[in-house]
Amino acid sequence: MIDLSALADAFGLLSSSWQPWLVVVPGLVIGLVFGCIPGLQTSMAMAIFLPATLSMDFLTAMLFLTAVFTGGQFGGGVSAILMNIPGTSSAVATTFDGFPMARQGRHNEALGVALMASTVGTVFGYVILLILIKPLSTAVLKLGPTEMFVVILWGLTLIAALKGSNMVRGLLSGVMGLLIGTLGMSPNGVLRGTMGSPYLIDGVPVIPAMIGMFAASELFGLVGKSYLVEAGTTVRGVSLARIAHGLRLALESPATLIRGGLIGTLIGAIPGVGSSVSNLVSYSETRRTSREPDSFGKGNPQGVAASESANSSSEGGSMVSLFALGIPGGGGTAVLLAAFTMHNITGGPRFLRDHADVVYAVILANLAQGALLLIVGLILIQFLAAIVKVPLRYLIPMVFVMATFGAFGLTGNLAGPMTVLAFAILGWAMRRYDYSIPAAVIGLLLGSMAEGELLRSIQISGGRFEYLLDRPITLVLLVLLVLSLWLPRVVGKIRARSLGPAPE
Amino acid sequence: MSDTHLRSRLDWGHLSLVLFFAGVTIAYLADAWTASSSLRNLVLLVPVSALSLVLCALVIVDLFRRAANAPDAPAEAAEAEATGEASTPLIERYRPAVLMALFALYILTLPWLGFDVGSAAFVAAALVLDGERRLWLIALVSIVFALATTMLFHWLLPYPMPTLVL
Repeated sequence: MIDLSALADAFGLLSSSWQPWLVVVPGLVIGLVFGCIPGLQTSMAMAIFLPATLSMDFLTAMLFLTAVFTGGQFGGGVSAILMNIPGTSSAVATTFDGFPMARQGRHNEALGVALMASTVGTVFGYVILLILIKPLSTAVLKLGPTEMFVVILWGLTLIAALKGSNMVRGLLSGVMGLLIGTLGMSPNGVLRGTMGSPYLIDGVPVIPAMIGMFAASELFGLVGKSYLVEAGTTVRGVSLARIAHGLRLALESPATLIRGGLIGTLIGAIPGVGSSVSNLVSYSETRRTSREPDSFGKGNPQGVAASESANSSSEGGSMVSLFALGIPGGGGTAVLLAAFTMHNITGGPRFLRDHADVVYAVILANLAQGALLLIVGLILIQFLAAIVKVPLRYLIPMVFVMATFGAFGLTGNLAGPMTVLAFAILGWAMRRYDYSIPAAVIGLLLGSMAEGELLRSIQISGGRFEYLLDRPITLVLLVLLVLSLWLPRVVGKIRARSLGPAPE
Repeated sequence: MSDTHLRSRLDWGHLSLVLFFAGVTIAYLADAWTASSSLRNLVLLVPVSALSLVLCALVIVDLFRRAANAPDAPAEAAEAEATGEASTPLIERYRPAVLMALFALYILTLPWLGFDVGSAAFVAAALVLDGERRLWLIALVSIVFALATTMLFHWLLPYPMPTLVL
């Protein structure tokens, strides 16, 4: 499974010079800061610092960029926990329990859990990549659009899981999100619903819309409140002891970390889906299999661990298609692919065969980065968590302004800030009448993806349903999807029957 | 049940939101249909739009049913009670709306005020709205923060950013 001679060469590459290692810590810091600032994406940090890698050799460049990647995956969780803003789209599920924990004054524990889960997730993803890169590279080739569509459907079933307190309204928010997510140029080149605006040709800018719905709409309601952390003044500070407690707390639920790691690596390996879906699937699976599903969304550390382990491990997964197929799985790997081109390297099976030592060196270096993240994260957490010490009165306008700048940075024009404004007002109205914001955001994220894969499925099958019978992986995925929806009910019923009537 | 009673108890805000959803769905579907009525263009849109309209109808029916079955207490008081706003002073209730208006003003005036002046003005106004009265602090926080953020993003972003002073 592992090419041992290439692995030995990889060790040689990494130990022959200390120079590649110099860029790892700065990379992690850049990733952490960018991930943490709402609106700035990890992939954007990688893109901005991509020209800086021109003077580096290929391995050093990969080490630097993957360090930014690794730092960013955790950085996104920091603002998700402290401000209820997913710093990156892969930290959406971290807000579900991370922010409630912060509001209960348990932000230190939440950050500790997130840091440990990110570290474990990163290491987990790369260990799996190390073992499976060769076999996986052949398997990924077999995934077609029908399989992808089922995976996205799986993500969409979250709408039902996150429906909030009213099912009809929850579904309606999800459906509206899905419709808005398909605005603009359709996968087969038809322009729809743009109202003549050139800004909408590429669809609604998803991240600004998410910032508006998740963050800004919430901030409108927070005005007049004193502190982000509502508990007593003694808990507002950063406490290393409590962060350490959070680190241990994450390790107490190894099943959650392993499940998150597996889901993250698997979904991360599928091009186009990646970490923005894996954290949601992992969260919902953890909640579904939990003995106390009702405690999720109210500050359950397992929710944070599930999301962070999955988004961090998907980095390792996304490297599969990059290395094996030369296909980027998402924004981050797209930048890595650009770095390949900058260094005159073409990804794909041939690259894997000819330069297995470089691939293994990148994997080994990332395992070390996982451990370094723990140290750099612990040092920087104090600085990052200082945000919660700022009285809310100062924080609210600052976050609005940062979100506006970030949205401008993402779109490069005023369409970003306008999107934040429109979705902030819509989100505020939806919150007021008990419509689930997460359901709408998931619909928005997956809308165009679902349509693209559905179309490709129809094209490839010629519209025949029998085609599915020839796709065993699709069928297995479909069965898993149905099981994941129905099994908890059946198990719940059996459990309730064996335990007698549950107390209300 | 007379029409006036029903009208006074109906949650008009919620009804407007659902009608907005239904309107967006119909307008989008009509636009997509005009653009191309091929199966490939509509394969996802038609089923999802139909589901959206059914859900909108369900919510509207529910709203009318609730209004018809509501107790005699005035709808406004019931709503205020439900949202926990009964005891809050008037200014507290309207703060979110004022902040929303300020934010809208900030975004819409960005092309003229630029990110530097616009952000400073927005931060200052939001601080005043949230009860801050120390002028020196308002000036310090708004100007320092707006300048620092504008300069940071100016350095980070590869494209020009509208500014007035910087």
